Amino acid sequence: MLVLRRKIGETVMLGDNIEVHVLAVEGDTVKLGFVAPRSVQILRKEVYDALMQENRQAGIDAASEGKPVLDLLKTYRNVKSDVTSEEGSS
Amino acid sequence: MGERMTLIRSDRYGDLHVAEEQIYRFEKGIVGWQDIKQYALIGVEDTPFFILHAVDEQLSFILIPAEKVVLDYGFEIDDETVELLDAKKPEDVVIFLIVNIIDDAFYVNLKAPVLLVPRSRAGCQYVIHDRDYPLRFPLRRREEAGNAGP
Repeated sequence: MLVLRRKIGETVMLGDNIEVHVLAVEGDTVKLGFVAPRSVQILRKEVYDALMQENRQAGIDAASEGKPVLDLLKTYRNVKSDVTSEEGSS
Repeated sequence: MGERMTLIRSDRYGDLHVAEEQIYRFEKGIVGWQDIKQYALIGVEDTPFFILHAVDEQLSFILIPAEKVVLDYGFEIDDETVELLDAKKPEDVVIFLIVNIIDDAFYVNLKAPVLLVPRSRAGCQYVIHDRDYPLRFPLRRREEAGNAGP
C-alpha cells in the first residue's frame, strides 16, 4: 500500500483523471471529495462489498445451473408490499 | 421492417433478437461487472418480469418494475446521475428492481435499483443513500396473502 501525508485542501491524483481531495478532518473522521469521469462508480467499500455480493447472486452467468427460470417466473403472482421506511416512526 | 436487430445468443434464454431501442448503455457498468456497458431489456411474456441481458456476455439479471411490487418507494437521484442518464424530467426515469431468486423464493434489491431512461437509452444501478432500504427484500406471493390466484 502506498501511504501519503496530505493536508486539508490538498489533493491526490489517481492516474490522469481521478482527483481525491482532503476536505476536512474531524476527530477520527476524514472528509474526502472525489472528481472522476462519469464511468467511475464511487462507493464506500462496505456498500460496494454488500452490493457486489447481492449482484453476484442475482446475476445469472453461464456457469449457473440451468434451472427453468422462465417457468418459475410464470408461476409468480405478486402482491404489492408497503415499504414505507420506518425512519419517521415514533 | 428494415429495423436493425441485434442477436444475443444466450446460453440460458436461447437466441434473443433485440431492437436498437431495447439496448441501454450502462456507463458505470453494474457493480461486480463494471466493464460490461451494453445491456438489452427484454420483457418476459405473460409475467411482469424483464430480462436485462448483457449484449456481448452471458450475464443477465431478472428485473421487475418497482411500481409492480412496492408502494411508497421513493428517493432522491443525485445530479451526477441525472446528468449521466440525460434525464430531463423525473418521468423520464423508469425504476426497475433486480430480482434475486433463492430456493424458489423471490427477493428484490430496494437499496440499489436499476434506473433506465428510454429516451436516451442510458441506464445505471443507483445506490440509494438518502433512505435506508434493504438490499434483499422478500416479495410476497399472492398465495401467502391468503388470496389464491386464478
